[in-house]
Formats: sequence, structure tokens, C-alpha cells
Amino acid sequence: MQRYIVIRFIQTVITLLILSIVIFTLVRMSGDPVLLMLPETATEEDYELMKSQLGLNKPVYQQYLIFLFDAVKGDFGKSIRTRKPVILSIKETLPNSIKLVTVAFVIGFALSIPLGIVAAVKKGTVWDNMARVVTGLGQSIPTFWVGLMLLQIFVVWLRILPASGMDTWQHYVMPATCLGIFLMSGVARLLRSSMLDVLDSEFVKMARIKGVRESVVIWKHALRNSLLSVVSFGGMYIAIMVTGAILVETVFAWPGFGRLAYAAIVNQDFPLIQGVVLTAGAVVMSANFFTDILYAYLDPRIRVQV
Amino acid sequence: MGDNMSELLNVKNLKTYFFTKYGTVKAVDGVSFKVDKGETFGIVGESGCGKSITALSIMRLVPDPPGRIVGGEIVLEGEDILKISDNEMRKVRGKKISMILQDPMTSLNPVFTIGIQLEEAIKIHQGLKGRSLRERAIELLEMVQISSAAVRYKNWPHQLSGGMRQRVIGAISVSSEPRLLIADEPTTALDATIQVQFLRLLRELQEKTGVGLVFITHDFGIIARMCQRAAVMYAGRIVETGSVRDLFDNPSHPYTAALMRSLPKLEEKVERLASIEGQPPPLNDDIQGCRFAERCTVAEHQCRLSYPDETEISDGHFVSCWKF
Repeated sequence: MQRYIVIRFIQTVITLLILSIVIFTLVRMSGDPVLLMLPETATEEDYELMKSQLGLNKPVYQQYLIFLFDAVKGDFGKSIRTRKPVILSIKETLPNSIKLVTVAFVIGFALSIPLGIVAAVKKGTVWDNMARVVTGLGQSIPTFWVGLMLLQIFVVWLRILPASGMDTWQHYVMPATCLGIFLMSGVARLLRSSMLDVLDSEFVKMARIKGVRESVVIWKHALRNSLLSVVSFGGMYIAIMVTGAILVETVFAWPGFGRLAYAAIVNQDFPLIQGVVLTAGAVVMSANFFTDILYAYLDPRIRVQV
Repeated sequence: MGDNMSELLNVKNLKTYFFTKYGTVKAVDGVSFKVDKGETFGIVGESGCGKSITALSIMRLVPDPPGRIVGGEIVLEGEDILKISDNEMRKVRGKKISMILQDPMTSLNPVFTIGIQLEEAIKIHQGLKGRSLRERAIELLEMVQISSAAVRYKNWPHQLSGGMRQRVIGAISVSSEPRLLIADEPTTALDATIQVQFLRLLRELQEKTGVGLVFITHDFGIIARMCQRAAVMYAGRIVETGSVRDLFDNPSHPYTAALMRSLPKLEEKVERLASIEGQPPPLNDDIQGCRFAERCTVAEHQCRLSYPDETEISDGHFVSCWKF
């Protein structure tokens, strides 16, 4: 198991390095930051001066190494627009998003596990069809639209929930539901299909032969195996959540990382974009890393391999 | 009356149908047989003849929907287990009747150690806990000749070979000393040498526990090796029942006789083994007559009109054929 964790950790670091190269290259391909920062009236000398101040006259590989070492230290430079260090903006907003996504995860899984199980166990019945309709809608309706509808109902008509901010638990209800519904639909569908496979398996038949109670067959023997395929998508959910958060945080004016990303892109704030994308990448990578460890914990077959 | 005392299982006119979009599939259509205490009874037939569904019907584990036991009786030690509630049946499973499945590679849950899976069965039916539970589990592993059982106990299924897994399943199946053990092609997925080992183990377990064994196979060699009596199944029906000697020396149903002719013999060298022309009928057809009639070389008009009753041609040797 230790060996497995070490190997996965090294793989994660390598992936992050590759991501940093991609970001570094993309940003340099998307325009000259010096031109963007200088006023219209600047002279050729001003341009050269700024270029050397920013270290852009050095060879590319040196630039990359400087960028990399700064990034490791948490220094992503300053925002072009606000002059505020990028790392500060990230530090302020990321925890808010983590809180929101955690609540969304709890809501999503609390709903999807029973829903997926019921749909599989009662396959072909009214329950299954209802679950299919609900999860189908949850997946196909855009998250921001769900957000707008929630705003219309609970803020405009019923006036029982706050529209923006994150001070009380009431503030969490709508954005977390919004993200949670999307997550729930995917997980429930995945769980249903893997549960159906598992319920058909020989070891479930064997458990029944032993005289195991049906509820134990489902919750112990079948669920743990079905969760394997759900968990293996865990890293992907985090990625989905990051994108989802950009939309939901913008709709509900949630002071989070997603809104920061949105602002960075809209303002073409390159240092901020670099910092945001790299951080998001790191979040998704570490989520994948922990997912794989969880997977290995759930499935003994993984532990011994590698 | 004396006969009844030794009777363990009596399956009477069992019918298990599958209700599908394409019609009703009569997978088991009026199967009757008896198994005595401590006896090994074989059911032999080709794939799809209904032998596995017969086994699952006895466990009452036919997937519903689409399958359902629509008629008959399954009398175990004097009690018709088709009449008891689901909850009572659950207590019968594992305790009175147990079953070994065909594929040892998929019959154990990959995410639990074999110790946990073995203990689960013991816990349900014997209520053992803690140390005594563990001791009983290791004792059972030793009984099925798993070496260093105390270590193996902590292993996951994927760390065991196919033969070992099948022995673990054997241990689980006999853990609560059932009265009846159904083995559904338990050696089909094993290597030839491991097959022999496992069959020997089953026989030893039977001698130790006195369990009645229903052995399902398509292999006449195994029937000859393991069973006292056997039934030949064809297209959802038993066509011939008798002692293994009767079946081998005096195969009377044309299907049994044809099967016997198709067995390779050591003393003869032939270019091509004899085969039976044609295919078994689809089981969703409504066939009034004998199901083998279309492939039978001696079939007459009568054979296609109605199904023949069972005739006892010698003591304990039953045949369903109009020729008798």
C-alpha cells in the first residue's frame, strides 16, 4: 500500500509539471504581456526596459524555471488589474469554494446513493423510471439555469432565502443544491448501472445462498463493489465541480475561486489566469490522488498490483 | 414408510417458467426426482436443458422477474419449501440447503477476505462470535485442505488459485452442516488435475457430514465417478432416471442411448464420434409431444402428439418414452 501511494504521488507531481509547461506555453502564445501592461504612449526603450525588468529577455527555459520555482513558493506574480498578489486572491477565495463544494458533495452523495440503489433494485418499476427522469433532468438542465430558477422561486417569489453572499447556512442552500443536483444525477446513474451488474454477479448469488439478509446483500456485498466504479470517477467529479463552481458562484455572487477564475478570464488578467489554472489543476490532481488511494482501500486487488 | 425415513428431498412436478418479451420460456417443465439422505444424485444434460434452473429453483433463487416457479412441490425433510415465507426460506438457505456455483473465480466477493466471507455464513446460522467464530472458520478451511489456514484466512480471493477458491466455497457451503448440497458444475472451470482433487474432497466432506448431494454436470464421467443414481434432462424435462449402472448398462431413452453412443471409448478407435442430429427445441415453443421426437431415430406419430408418462422399466429405473 505504501509503495502504491508513493508511486501515485510521483505520478501526480509529474502530471502537475506537465500542466505547468502547458500553461506556461499557452500564456506566452496568447499575446505579449508587456504590450498589454504598457500605456499607448510608451517608447521602444520603455518596452525593452520593462521586458528586462520582467525577465522576459532571458532564454525561454530560464523563464520557465523562474516561473516554476516562484510557483512552487506560491508566488504567481501580481494581478495586472488590481496589482494584488495572485496568491492572496487565491487564498481568500479558495476556502470559500471548498466549503461550498463540500456541502454540494454531501448533498449530492446523500441523494445519489439511495437513488441509485433504489433504481437498480427496483429496476423497470415506477421507482426506476422516476429516478431516471430526475437524474436525466439533473444532467441535461444547465446548472446556471437551475440557479436562476432557484433565485426566482426562493428569492423573488417566496423571499425566504438570501440571494448572494455566504454569511449564514441559508446562503449555502441554493448554490450547494445547484452543484449537488448535477453531481447527484451523474453519480446516481453510474451507481445504478454498476449496481445492476453487481447484483447479477455470482458472488451476490453466493451471498444469497449463504442466507444473507437481502438488505445486507445490497448494502454490504453489492454497494461496496458498485462504489468502486463511482469512486474511480471521483477525480472527474472534482473537475466537473470546478467548472460548475465558476457558473454557480457567478450566479449567486459567491466570493469563491470560481468567480475569481471568471473575473480573471473576462479581464484577460494573465498572471491571475496562470495562478488560477495551476491551482485548479493542483486541486484536481490531489483529488485524483486521494481518489486512487480510496479506490485502493476499497479494492484489495489494486493494493497488491503496481 | 421406511422409504420415507431415508428421503431427504422430493421434487414433484416442478415447473419454472420465464416470462419474457418473446413469450414464456418453460425452462423447467414438470421435473420430478428424489434424493435420499447422504446420497449423491446426478443431473446430467446439455447446456440450456434446465439443470441449473432446477438447482436455483430448489434454492428459491430464480431471478424474479422474469422467472417464476409456477407449479410443483419441493419437499425437504417432509416440508414443502415452496410454501414457506421468504424470510423462513432465507433461514433454510445456507443452513439446510447450500450450493456450490460453477465459477470459483467470480463466486467470492473480491472486496472481502475469505475469512470474512466464511465467518458471515457461520455467524448467520450458528450465532458464533469472536474467538470461537474465528476458530470455526479456520477449522473449516483446514477441513477443505487449505494449507496454513490461519494465514489464508486473511487473504483476499484474488490471492488464491481457482482450485483453492473452489475449496473455500466448499467450506462456506458446508459451514453450517446442511442436509442438502447442490453442486452446479463445480469442476467445469477447473483444470483436470484440480477437478479430481475437488471431487475427492466433495466425497470426503460428504462422508464426514452425511450431506445429500445433488451433482449437476454435463459430464458422464463425473456422474459415473460421483453418483449412485442420476437423471438425464432434456429440454426442461427429465427423460430417464435410474441407478448409474442402469444408465450406463441399459440406457433406455433414445436420448440417453444416443448420448452414450457419443461418448469416446478407450478400447475403440474411431475417426469421428457419434453425434445427435439437430438441435434441442426452443423452450418457448408449445410442444405437446415428446421434446426429443424431432431428433429421435425411432420416433412415431404418437411421440409428436402427447408427452409420454414415466414408466418404471425395472426397479428404480424410470423412462419417459412411448416405446415402453
